[in-house]
Amino acid sequence: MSDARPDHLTWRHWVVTLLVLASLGAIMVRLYDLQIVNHEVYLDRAQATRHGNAETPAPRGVITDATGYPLAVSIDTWDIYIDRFLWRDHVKASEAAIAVADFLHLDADMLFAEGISADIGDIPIRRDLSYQEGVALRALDLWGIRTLPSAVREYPEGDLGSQIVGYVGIDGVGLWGVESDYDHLLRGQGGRVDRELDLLGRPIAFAANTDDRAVRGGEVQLTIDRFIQAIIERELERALEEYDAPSGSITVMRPRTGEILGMASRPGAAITAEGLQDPQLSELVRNRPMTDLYEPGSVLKTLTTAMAIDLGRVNAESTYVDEGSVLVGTDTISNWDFQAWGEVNVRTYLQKSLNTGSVWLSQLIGAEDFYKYLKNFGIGEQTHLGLSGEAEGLIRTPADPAWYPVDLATNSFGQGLAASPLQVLTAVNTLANDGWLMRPYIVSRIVSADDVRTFDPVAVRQVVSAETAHTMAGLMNDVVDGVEWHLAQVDGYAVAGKTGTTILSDESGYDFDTTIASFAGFLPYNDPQVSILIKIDTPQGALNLGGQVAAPVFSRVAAEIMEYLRIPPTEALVAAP
Amino acid sequence: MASLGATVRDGAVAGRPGRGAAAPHGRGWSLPGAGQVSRLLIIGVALLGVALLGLLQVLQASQVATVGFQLRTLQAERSTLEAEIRLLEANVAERSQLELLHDEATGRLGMVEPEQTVRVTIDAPAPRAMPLPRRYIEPAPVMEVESDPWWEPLLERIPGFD
Repeated sequence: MSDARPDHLTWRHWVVTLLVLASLGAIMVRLYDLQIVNHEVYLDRAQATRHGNAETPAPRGVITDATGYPLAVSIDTWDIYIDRFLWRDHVKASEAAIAVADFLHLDADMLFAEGISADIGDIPIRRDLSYQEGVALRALDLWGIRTLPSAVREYPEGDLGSQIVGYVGIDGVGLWGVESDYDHLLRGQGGRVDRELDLLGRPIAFAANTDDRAVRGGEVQLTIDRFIQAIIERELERALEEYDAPSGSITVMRPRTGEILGMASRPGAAITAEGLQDPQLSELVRNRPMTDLYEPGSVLKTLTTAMAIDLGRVNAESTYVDEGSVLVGTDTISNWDFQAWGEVNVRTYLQKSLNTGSVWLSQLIGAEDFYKYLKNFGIGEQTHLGLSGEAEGLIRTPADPAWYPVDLATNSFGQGLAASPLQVLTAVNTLANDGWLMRPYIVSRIVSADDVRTFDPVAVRQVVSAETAHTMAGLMNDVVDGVEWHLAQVDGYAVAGKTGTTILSDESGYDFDTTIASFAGFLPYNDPQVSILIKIDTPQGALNLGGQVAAPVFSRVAAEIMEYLRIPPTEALVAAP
Repeated sequence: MASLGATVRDGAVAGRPGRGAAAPHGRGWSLPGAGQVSRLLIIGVALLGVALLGLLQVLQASQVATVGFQLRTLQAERSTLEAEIRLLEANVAERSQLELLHDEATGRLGMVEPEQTVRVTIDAPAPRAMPLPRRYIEPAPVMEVESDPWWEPLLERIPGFD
């Protein structure tokens, strides 16, 4: 028959067979491409489709004061976004826009217009919505409205201690102070949730899900006491206003441990009220007691005297003849009052703060020992209190080619060298602590998720003997309580202290009307609990000496702190009947 | 001969296995023989076992899903509670702010700044200031009370040991 099928393969068969084989080959090549060549790419895509993940922010740790009161605390909030990919469905988007606008008190038309202006990308519509409101908004389950956890940093005491505590930027990173220096501890560790999703995008409960919970940031406890901090900030502002001074600082420490109980400086920034907009912000947030240097003036006479006593060159009753001035090389050094007091002993020299007495002592000490002691007192070196930005100081020594013998003379009464107020108070503390130099510290405890670190006082070295320290404490007590009119006296408490008046210099030389008035002291002098350094820069007007400007501030601050710390008076205020 | 318990119908005999039970013959349907019953039984039991295992797996998966859901719910609840704790701590801090305390004292309670402080020295230590919040309070040391060994009361019951 003519329509009988051929008993062999015709060209048609071969064509069909080749087509089939070619198709199979193409499929094989494609499979090879999918499964072998681009395996990782498609695996990632498949996992991205099947897996959902989300970053969970870690709550930032709390910064507390010495009493446990939170000076900086984080509150959970929500950031609200529109998912414009989902808002391509305009019907559902308009419903969601009305609902969310009603909830957040926004304009629904504007929201809708903004939400559909593009097909992809999230746009924020509200930041830092309160936690409770955010939970309520989530419960509404609105189409294309995303709520992401966030946090806002709050400072319950406002700007109190803001130069120490610091501030956190909008990105959650500390900008200065403890917030910056301990950022790595406070920030914590963000969490991550990975979920395997079903076709409808719901998490599969028994799939291989991972849930790395966010670890809350550590808590940093400071040695700062907010009551003391408030006292010194208030009194500093009062003093600056009273003496029309542009800047100043007050530092309060426990001399026996090195704890910093308060550290205030002005000018400061009104961060909580005005934010970070001030162009002078970096100047205003500087923690001046540790970052700024000044010539300590006559406060340093306490150290010079301690050196001479410790070396056995003089005692409290040793005398010299004060002629009102002394010639050192070709330079004449005069007393601050340009008066001559004749034969005076060490006690009187300190009480009257005679520059000639310091020059006399420095010559007895010698340059080598003087600078060795100065270094041991920590003058001109960082104290390592645990905050960044600490200044070192400026001291010329005999090893320096620019050093002249007159430098020893001027350095002995605190001129011609520069130190930070913190260094000066730390050095004075040795005289209240049996001659031991304590390292100042401002962080007392760090509590992290798995560890508690407590910082104990660190004794750096013994600079002078305990006997010398006791002698000096007595001499410093005579400076204050031995002078009837002294403005640093505190009712009921024996005070040891020393005034300082630094005469500032400019290109034309020293300007006797431009001074830094300071006072450093501790009390009760025979059992020192608190040491205080007051520094008022360039007070205007008739009063510009340490004894006139800084001493009364010391008196007010010390009296309040004694009362707050419940330290019983050392002297009977009313005679017993 | 039919064994005990066997069912006889249409001449077919179902007996105990291994006793010459015959396969069903003749017209119509008949019960399987003893050998066939045992195989069916095994298959049935096996199928039942498989079904039970499947059911168990389904129940287990369901249980896991339920527990997983509960876990996520509890985690969300815990997150909410933790957030509320932080919020409450901040509220406590704001309400004990120094300026607010001062305003409350002078405004609402009518207090005034002291003009004179009277100090009375007494021969007793001052009470220790208690820091807040309470997590900063060091836990009180546990006083270990030395008790008698457990066997002593027993010995005391024996005459002559008191």
